[in-house]
Amino acid sequence: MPFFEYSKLLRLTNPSQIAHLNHVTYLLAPHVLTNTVLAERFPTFTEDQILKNTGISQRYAIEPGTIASDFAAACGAYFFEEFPVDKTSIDFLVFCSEAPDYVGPATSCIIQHKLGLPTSIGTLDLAFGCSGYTYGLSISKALIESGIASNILFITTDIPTSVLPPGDPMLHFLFSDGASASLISAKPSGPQIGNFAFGTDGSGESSLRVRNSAISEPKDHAWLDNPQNEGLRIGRMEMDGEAIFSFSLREVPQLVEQILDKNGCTMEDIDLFIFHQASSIILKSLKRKLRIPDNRFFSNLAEVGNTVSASIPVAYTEAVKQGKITKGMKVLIAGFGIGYSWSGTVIQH
Amino acid sequence: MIEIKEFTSLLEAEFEDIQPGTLTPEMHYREITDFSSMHALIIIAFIDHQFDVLLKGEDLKKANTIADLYYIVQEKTKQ
Repeated sequence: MPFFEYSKLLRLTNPSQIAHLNHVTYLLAPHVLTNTVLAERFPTFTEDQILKNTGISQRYAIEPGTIASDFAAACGAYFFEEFPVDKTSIDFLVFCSEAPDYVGPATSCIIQHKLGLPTSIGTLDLAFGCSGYTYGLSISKALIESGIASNILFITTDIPTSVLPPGDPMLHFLFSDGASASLISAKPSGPQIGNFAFGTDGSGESSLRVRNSAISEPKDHAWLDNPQNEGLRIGRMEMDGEAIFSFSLREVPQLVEQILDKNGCTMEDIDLFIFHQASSIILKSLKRKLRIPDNRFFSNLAEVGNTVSASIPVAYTEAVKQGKITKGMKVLIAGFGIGYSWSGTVIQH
Repeated sequence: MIEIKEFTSLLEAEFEDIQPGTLTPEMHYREITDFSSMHALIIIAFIDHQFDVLLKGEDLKKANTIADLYYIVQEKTKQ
């Protein structure tokens, strides 16, 4: 194609737009699962052992049967109550979840309708887990900075408690249901979203997956029909904890290095590190390996558990509320896990 | 590479719920009181931090005693 035609194409977009993270909020599932509740359900563990093994005091669970689009729409509605933005100004919806309502249609289409967003918007589903928030931010940034969209509502929703097999208590101790909603906009009222680093290693497929959940492993009716199995209608999670742990220690330090490099920063330039709230041993080990001091490392895993794609925005929102993030700060966020998949960026306040 | 005695006492310090002097090189690490998957992760993290060696699940499966862990690390640091 001759050069002048490229120029014409470029004029169709608005390359001067910069993506800003104007608001972030979250919603946790309604049922609180304390260690007391879980020790009753799994009597081979005491409350104290659960706390020692996980560092988690409580996690949250949906009402059984709740679907992701309902939870996402509730979080979206909460977002619009909390933040004064006109629904008609939203021109794109990005939705990230590993619990879609259907194989088709895209759950983002269903959420558009449930939230009453304009029919003129574009929508997109992302099927990522623990790296989902940072992935979704990168896509949103790309949509804004290419001029395709100006005001994006980005919702993450994960309901891992609906795929936890009754025979694996450690998964029950760790995972929690949560949703988040963020506004990524060309309007500069929030911090700027920096450059992204990514990584993918599909050899980790079997280290963490939801079995009998789709085409590769269809639904297992013998399992579904067995009332002992707690009605795991979506599938059942299987995790090799040692493999996930080794993956995290191997890849996340390199990811951090790449994020810093892509944003022209050093470790000392970062005021606060917020990682995916995977587990207390992973967070503690990464903090030690990267030599991050306590006052520059934020975690709220103890109060919330691992909410998968919602964990970074949940922690980020809490850090803002607690006054740990203020103007002028650089916050490094990094998501990593199922896939294996990892990504991250710097949020410049 | 440090001596096996020091390896054992450094590893012991990683476990918050173990009395000092409990671990010995001959001890089967899975027989640590209340041993759980968390202890296995603590071992992996300790070895990664101290020796920059990232053990895999199969490395742990091959090792029974704390001395076995030490020799695996010794072998890997030579590579």
